[in-house]
Amino acid sequence: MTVANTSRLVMYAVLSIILLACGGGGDGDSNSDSSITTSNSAGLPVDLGNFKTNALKEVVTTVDCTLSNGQVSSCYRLVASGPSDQVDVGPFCPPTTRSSAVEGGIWFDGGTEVYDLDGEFILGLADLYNDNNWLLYDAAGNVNITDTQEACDAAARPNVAEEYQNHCVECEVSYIAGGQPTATFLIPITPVARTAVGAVNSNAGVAFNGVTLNAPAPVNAILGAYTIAAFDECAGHVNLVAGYHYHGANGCSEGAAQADGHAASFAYAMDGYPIYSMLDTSGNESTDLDSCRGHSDDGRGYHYHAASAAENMFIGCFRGETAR
Amino acid sequence: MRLLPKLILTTVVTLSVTTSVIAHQGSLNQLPWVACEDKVLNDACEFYNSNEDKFRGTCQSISEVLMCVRNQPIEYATDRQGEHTHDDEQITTEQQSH
Repeated sequence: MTVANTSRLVMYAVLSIILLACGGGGDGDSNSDSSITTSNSAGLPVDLGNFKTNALKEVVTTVDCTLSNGQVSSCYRLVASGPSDQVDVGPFCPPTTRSSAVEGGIWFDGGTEVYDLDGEFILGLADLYNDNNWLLYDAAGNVNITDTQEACDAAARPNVAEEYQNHCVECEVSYIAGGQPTATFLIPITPVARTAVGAVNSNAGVAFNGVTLNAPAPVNAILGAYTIAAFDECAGHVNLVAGYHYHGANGCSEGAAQADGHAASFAYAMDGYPIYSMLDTSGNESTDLDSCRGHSDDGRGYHYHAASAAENMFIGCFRGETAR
Repeated sequence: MRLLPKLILTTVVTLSVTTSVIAHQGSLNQLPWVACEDKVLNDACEFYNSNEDKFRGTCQSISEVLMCVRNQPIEYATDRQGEHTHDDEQITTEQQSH
């Protein structure tokens, strides 16, 4: 294979990953051969009252929808506004190598830790990733940040030009013509259990504050260009296609606390089952989660528990049918 | 349309190998995917991070690629004192990720 062909292949791969993982793809899933591993999948109807004020851009309507199994059902049509005026976006990149944690957001790479994006983290990148090519700051300790639309666009492209490598990447919603793109979700009003779990290919769901839950960020491609696509404390960031979106659950958009100490919910998955935070109020994680990271109890029916933000994901698969 | 998932799968695998070579040798961020490299959908999987914390779950398809989705609480190394260490498995996993 020639170098040109290899480069072209890599470019397509990066494009594919970014489109799929960062919101360019559809909201659907695909059938899989995976068997359901738990028995009780009855879920409660979607409660629109869970959504925060201004999270939805239009009045919710009930529409006929065709589910992934071909069944005709009723869905809510939700038009999310992205980050509502009640959602704080950022900060993302720390300005200098002397910056404290409050001046930057977080970074995670699928491991076990959420890193504070402070000056110390920037200084330690070469050690963290065992690669001396990392150098995200200048001689004065100023962090290289993509602080223009042009820089944001260039650093988010595949085959990042050398001048935009070794940058902390942050983009602003204002860079997008028309602002935050609206996202329309068709979610079954009452979840319909499926006989084989479905794959999460792009969006996992929508948070109660209207922010989209995206599939894992392509951290390997991001790191491969010596860039850090900074997240804010809510594990969200902006790209020029999807606008502001989440890649992890970090305690934002949570609903009311549960009286029994159960974790609070913060989103609905695309199949209509609610997603709860990972830990209960005692700091424990459930031990009976199925392959999708869901389980059932008497009060809540079937529901998911998100993985930790550090794991760069929310749920493992869809237990219910999604709308086509 | 069926060509698209195949193209994506092929290119994603190519990319993951390429970018692993390009940078961040020793990075942990590939472990959930490496843990499912030789497995099929819904197989049990597990991996250890550099602290020997253990992650157990099943291989699920996310964005067209199998990754290990944890569905058991993280078993922290500090809570598994007395259990034999997994140095050999850790080395194997890291070698595969490069």
